[in-house]
Amino acid sequence: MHGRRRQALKEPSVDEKEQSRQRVEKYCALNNSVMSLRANNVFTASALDQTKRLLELNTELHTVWNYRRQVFEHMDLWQDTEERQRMLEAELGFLFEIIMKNVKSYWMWNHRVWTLNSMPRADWKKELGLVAKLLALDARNFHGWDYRRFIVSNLKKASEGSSGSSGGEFAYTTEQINRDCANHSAWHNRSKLLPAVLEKASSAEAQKSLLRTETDMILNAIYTDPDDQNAWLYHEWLVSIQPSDEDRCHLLRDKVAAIRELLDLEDEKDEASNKRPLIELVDALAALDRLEAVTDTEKNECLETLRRLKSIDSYHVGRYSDMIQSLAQRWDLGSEHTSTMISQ
Amino acid sequence: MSENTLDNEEFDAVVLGTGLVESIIASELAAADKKVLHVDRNPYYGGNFACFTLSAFVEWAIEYRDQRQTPLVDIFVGSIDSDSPTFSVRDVGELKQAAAMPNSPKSSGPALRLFDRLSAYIADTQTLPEGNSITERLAKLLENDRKYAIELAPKVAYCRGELIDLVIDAGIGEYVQFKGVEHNYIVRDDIVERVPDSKGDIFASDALSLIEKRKLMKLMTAITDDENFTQLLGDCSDMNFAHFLEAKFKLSGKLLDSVIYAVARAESRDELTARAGCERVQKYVKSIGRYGRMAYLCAMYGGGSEIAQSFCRLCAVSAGTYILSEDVRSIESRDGDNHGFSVQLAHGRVFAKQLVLDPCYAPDSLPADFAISRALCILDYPVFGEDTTATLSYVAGNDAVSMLYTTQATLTAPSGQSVVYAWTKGRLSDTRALLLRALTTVRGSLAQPLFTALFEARDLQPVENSLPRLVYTGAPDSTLDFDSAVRLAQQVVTKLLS
Repeated sequence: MHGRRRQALKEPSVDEKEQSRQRVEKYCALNNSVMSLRANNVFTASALDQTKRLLELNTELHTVWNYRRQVFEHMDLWQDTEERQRMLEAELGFLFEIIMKNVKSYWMWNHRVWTLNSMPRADWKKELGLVAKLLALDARNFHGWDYRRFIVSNLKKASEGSSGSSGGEFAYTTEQINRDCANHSAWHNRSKLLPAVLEKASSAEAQKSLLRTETDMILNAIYTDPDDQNAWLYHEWLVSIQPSDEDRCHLLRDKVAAIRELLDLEDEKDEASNKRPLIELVDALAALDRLEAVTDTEKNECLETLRRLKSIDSYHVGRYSDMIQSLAQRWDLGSEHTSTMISQ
Repeated sequence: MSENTLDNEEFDAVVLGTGLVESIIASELAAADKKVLHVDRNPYYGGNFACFTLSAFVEWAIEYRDQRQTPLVDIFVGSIDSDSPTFSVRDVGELKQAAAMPNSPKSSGPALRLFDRLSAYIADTQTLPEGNSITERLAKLLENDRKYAIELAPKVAYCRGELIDLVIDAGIGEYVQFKGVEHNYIVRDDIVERVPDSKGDIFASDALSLIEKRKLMKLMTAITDDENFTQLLGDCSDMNFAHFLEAKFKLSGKLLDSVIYAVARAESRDELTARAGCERVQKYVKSIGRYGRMAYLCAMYGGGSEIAQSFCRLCAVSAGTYILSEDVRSIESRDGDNHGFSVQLAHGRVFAKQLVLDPCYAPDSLPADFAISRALCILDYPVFGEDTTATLSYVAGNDAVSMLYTTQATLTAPSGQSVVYAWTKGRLSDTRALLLRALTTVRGSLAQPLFTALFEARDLQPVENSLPRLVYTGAPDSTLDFDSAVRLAQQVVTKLLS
């Protein structure tokens, strides 16, 4: 700008310092005012207005959010259904304006939940649309996903008798995982919905087919990005919800086969990228062993893999050594000194 | 401005032809404060990149094409199953005996006039169907005449590439609009398949096996790893790209072809070295995500022409002078001035310190051996979707035909129809069957062809010129994108301004 000297970055100008000081003064004054109103249990419209202005300046004051809720509940207008609806609709609007300041604010999401729960007539469909937009912007915001589950459960309550929307929600997780297979929130939501989907299946065949879809999806994720833990975790959970040991073994054997094929493709020189598949292989073989016996070849494969891991992943050498020792003991391998045969 | 004021006028630069390369050059010279005269002998902008309504395309075939470059244009109205086209337009301006029509056509207006003009070029009277039905079909097509934007040299732009950078720098983003090219296909053994290009695409693809997904992801990750690029190539820089992919990434079959042809856009298997191929893949992958989940952008209303016109607009704004429909009669060295030129136009003589021209303006240019065979086909159904644009690569043996699919999405076809382009290097006599096969495979059983045109564009070589400082541009090349044209223009500008 003309006529002004260039300011060095670090030191704010006298003007800026003054502006900053004034802002701080205003904030402190407002803060003190609100806190004293609260201490004196004042629940007037003026209190409502002041809390709003304070929260606009700082969205993270959970005490003030608490207080604001109390003010609402104590107001005379609160008792009138229509007035309450109107006030809370306005509150939703207010929240919508400020949520973008911090999309991951626990307090604002909590307040939104309170607002909807307190409304005589909540528009759940509209809320679903809103949260869909948020998740389109940021598909991994777990506040958004949590909120989505809250809305969906309310939608279900509102339309009892009609077939639940778990099919639709399940399809939504498919969509999100297809967009980004590293979306932990989507996988997590899927795990919340799958049991219900499986239960609704008409026959054992249908159930098997659903499970196949799940394992296909997991395999796709593993092959696309073996380092990403989401698919591995989901598979582990899938194994855990199987009704029988036989089913569990079946899934684990498929996992072992897939990992072996994957490792065949990998470049020997590029060991670091194999870490996760190798760890999963070891875990799968160990788990299989606990359910049914594994062959000697597989036992050796497991121990050999652990030795490989020791050289790839120096941070966890202790863990791998421990595993080698305990497995060798369990399998009666290694030195005679660890033999634990007790004759009956 | 009356014609007389042009006579004996002096210019810093005269540019002949308003193709994309010439237009970029003209606008950059004008921006460098040169006095520029930009001339085109056609009544339209764009030169060999021009874009036409359907009737205007036929006009081009009859009147305006350079006969040395494009000796003939074959037109099929309706089915392309037979070997003989409905019309074969050869010698410009020379009328052949019109065949006798069995019935007088019922419709009138543009269809009849067009039919009348075309009737002079009927290829084989014995295989002609009833005169009526051809006229009716033409009439139906012409109902949407202005909704077609048929390109002579269709191309797209990499989202991250020289053309887009130039469009942004020159500020012509206001004049030209682009749409994303949503899909990229490979056509192999008569099967059309989408080429997945992002991690999400690869994950969700039904067409790739698990192993193929892993191999493709490894390839993408390795090639876009800038820091280790040289290590990746090792001492294989000059190895053939296909062999390199087979050895280093264990690619084969469909996956290998997809990378070589649909991503690196090789036109033949032995065309690219490992280094060149990897650079092409890098360029493709890095383009994805800049504007959306696609690697290319396609201009609305016909790319080459719209972009060329935008640069002409820029040039005019910087005081460049424009004349269309102006014949160039002769080009000579300026008397007594070894460094200048004298150009005789239809309406006067002008002088230029520097002269840039499309080779088809050099009266003594001769056709070279190199040619690009082109085909375009209007379909009665949008086979890949109503509102999308797509690029395709049709693989036949060790060669590939480049293809582009457009719809109303880029406002180049009427709603409910689509236009498919196919082109490949070579003379039309050698490639005709291949191009027709590509078009037929791609349209499948869903769509019927309404109007198909086949022609070749031969390079023109100026004769050993006695005017050493003439600067020639060239015909559009066979690549899918505009970047080579931009690079050529920028090379010329650097040379002229040095």
